Amino acid sequence: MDADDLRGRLDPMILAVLERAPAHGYAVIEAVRARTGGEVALTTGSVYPALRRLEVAGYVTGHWSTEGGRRRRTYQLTATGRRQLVTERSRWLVFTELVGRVLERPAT
Amino acid sequence: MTGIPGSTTAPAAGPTIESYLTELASRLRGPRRFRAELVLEVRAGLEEATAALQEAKWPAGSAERQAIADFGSAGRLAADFQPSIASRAARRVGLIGVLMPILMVGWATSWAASPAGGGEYDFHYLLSDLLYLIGAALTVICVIGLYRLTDRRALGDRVLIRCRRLARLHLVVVTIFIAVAGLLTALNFDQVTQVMGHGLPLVVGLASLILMPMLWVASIGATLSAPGKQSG
Repeated sequence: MDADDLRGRLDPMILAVLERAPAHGYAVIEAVRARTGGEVALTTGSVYPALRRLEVAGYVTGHWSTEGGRRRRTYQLTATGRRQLVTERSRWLVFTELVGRVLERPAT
Repeated sequence: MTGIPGSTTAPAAGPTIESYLTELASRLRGPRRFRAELVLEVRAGLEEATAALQEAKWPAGSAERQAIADFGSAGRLAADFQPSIASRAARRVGLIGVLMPILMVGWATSWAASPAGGGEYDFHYLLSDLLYLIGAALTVICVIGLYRLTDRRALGDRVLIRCRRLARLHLVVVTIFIAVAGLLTALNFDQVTQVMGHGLPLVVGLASLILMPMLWVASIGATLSAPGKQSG
């Protein structure tokens, strides 16, 4: 799966990962990789700016913590972010439904 | 959207983490604290990625180079981070601007109670002058802040550029007003000076009331229309 396939889906995917538990940037990448069986590997260069963007939009909040002697910025979904995720899920269902109709194999 | 699973060979040469972070820091624009925080977060991400690759049996040097390659060029990363820095900084500048109407009300009240305004106490006259100076200083700080936090090369958002133009116009108008008021005061045009004395805080206050909400809207707009938005 390449970048074009995932264009426009990065933010909802990050929100969906954070819905389960707060996570730092690299953990988000690991979670997406694990959930997709390794088929989708987000790049660090896209995830970290996206997390900051989502923070500015008020969908997540970030705070610094230290784990294993390493400082990390952990992000948590906000109530606004949760509502945004619900909206994004609905949009995705409509999108897949409509595109599915177009791509459907003609009846023989 | 390639990552570790698809990458089996690291670039043969490339920057070290330190030189990459130095370049990133030099390309970011905005308040030092925001920039330092981003660089720290990228450092944590690079170290995390390098460690993960090493656990997957990559040699140390290759792991570091691959981790850096996954982040992309420092220039691109800085451009992707810039809107969020600009947005946070614009909000901060805007918060300073919120003080302006409060100062203007304080100024008007004090001036009305001062001898020049028909009141009795010298203290009010001094207070009104002080508030007037603070108001003018805050205007300059807000405009300079707006200029410093944005970089046209990194953030070409049209709304923000229009706000910069408005801020520049605001500064020019206020400067001219102060200069004319000062000149008339020097020439002892008392009546005119009193009118200007009323008008200056009005001009500064009203312009700031328009400018600051625009800054907030622009900062949010710039963030939402960032080049890296929703791209993998």
